[in-house]
Amino acid sequence: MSELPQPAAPASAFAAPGGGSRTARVAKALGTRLAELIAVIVVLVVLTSLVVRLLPGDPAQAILGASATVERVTQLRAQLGLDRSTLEQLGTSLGDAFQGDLGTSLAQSRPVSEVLWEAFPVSLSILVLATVIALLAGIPLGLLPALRRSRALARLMAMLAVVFLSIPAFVVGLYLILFVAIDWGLAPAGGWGTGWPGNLRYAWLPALALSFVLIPSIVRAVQRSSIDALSEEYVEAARARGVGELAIATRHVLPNVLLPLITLVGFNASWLLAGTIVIEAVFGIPGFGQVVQSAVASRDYPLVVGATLFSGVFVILVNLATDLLQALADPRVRVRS
Amino acid sequence: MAVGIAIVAAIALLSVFAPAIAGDGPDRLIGAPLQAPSGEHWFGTDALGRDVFVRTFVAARVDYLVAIFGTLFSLIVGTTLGTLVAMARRPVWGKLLMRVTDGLIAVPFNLLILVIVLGFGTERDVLGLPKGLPGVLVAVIVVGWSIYARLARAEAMTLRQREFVGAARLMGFSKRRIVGRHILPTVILTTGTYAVADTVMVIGLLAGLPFLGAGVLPPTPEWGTMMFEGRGVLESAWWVVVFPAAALVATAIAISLIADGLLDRLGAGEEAGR
Repeated sequence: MSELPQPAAPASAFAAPGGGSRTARVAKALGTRLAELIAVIVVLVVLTSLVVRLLPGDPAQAILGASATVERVTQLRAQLGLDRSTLEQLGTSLGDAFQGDLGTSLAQSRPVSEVLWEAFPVSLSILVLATVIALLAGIPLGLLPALRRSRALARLMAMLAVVFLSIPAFVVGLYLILFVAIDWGLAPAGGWGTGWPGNLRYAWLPALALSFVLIPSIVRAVQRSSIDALSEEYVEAARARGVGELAIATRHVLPNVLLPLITLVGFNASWLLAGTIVIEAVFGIPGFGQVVQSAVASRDYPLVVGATLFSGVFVILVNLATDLLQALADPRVRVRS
Repeated sequence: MAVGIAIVAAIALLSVFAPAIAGDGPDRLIGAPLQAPSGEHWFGTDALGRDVFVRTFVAARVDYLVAIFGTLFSLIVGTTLGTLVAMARRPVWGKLLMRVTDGLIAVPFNLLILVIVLGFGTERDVLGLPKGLPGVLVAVIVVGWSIYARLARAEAMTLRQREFVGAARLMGFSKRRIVGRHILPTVILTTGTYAVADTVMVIGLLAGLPFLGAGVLPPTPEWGTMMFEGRGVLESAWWVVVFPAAALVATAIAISLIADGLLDRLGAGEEAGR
């Protein structure tokens, strides 16, 4: 079974993993990600001001719709900088964005960043929980075919991975609500609690749905690296010494799997966050999903743009963390430094 | 791969003939709301008493349309830009392109699309397309080209180093001929195969938008809008969500099978050629 290209997975910052000293790697990662951070902010600010300026008609009116009040339209016009020249407005928006000022929400009349920081921990918790579930399910599933040394099983898993990789997480979520929540009554069909750990009751089902985004890739990555590792001489030697299959799996195969997994999870952050947002809207969870949902409903353009910028910066910081974690976890670097 | 093509073809055919089979249009209120599936209405009726069978398949028109045109334009724009940049004499253009795509790829695509859809407005009327659709199409293309450009650039950069390109250059062929005859055909093979798999992503993206308050506006049937409407009545009427969801899943599986088959065939061809 061949490999489909991964959706929107940026490459690692390192050209050759394992090359160079650790300080060199860390410096390179910092440089690359800093350039990306600047790129995200510049590209988004330019894009959003171009979108509203290139189209015919009054952009503020088009965004807010015919039923909008005059004050709302004037307020948005001012925030979009339509009363100033394009260059002047671009300069101010860029300056503001780099200082973390994302403007004021039209509907909620408070800073956009305040709204986002309130919702962010909720989204992050779903994201983290989904990653944990995906790792707990994906690693054993990926190790299974190699350990049983069954080609049929391997092909079946690869097939399932292709199928599930293509199904959007929110569709899985809808089916889970239908069966697990409504038919079996094992979880609430949506909503959110008042605090942890009570929230877990609400969080596990959406997180499970989201984990389906990641499980197929994890299974495939584990399967590939475990099959490679099993053909190594040290595994054969361990087997000759009479080491059990389970011990071989955990002590000799698993470490080889970790590095690719860090890369996989980290560089799928953008894709995962996209899934989280829709899942939250489906399950009625007060994270980014609901913020965006209500912002779109009230045509709160600054809030939607702010959420987009915030997410872009978050993804790049996750990528940076991934780079650093890779440098830390790679024993080839550890030995040298 | 044959199975995949059969499923897609069946859904495409039904999207044309479903109204005739059931004898009702997608927007007609044909009976009591939320009737369970029966001999008369195979997939039941929705909250407004419309036939879910007809709507599920008519919806495929919009979903397939966006998937095909969205990826096709992204493919053309991205492949052209990526190849041009890789062949450009000055590396500045390549660096600029990489930075721009870095920015686009880091952001969750559905948010990026929402920004453009909102900025575009849902009330613009373009070419008589269903309300909300033009904004989504524009957004998919504005965002989607970035991955193709990166793929094309990487592929063209490796091709440029290959002997047959060097030979063509030594034989004095023009740059235009080298790009057109020797580089572009191979680059398109790579980006085109990705495009097939990408149509699934586009359909998933489109279907997720109604939950965020955007996407194709009702009453035009689209899988996402139908699922969104069905989410509210999920506890009493599972069929309103399950059938459009099943159609989407069937399409997704079918296209993955096709893409996977293409990739296998391509890989085999490349190995034989080396």
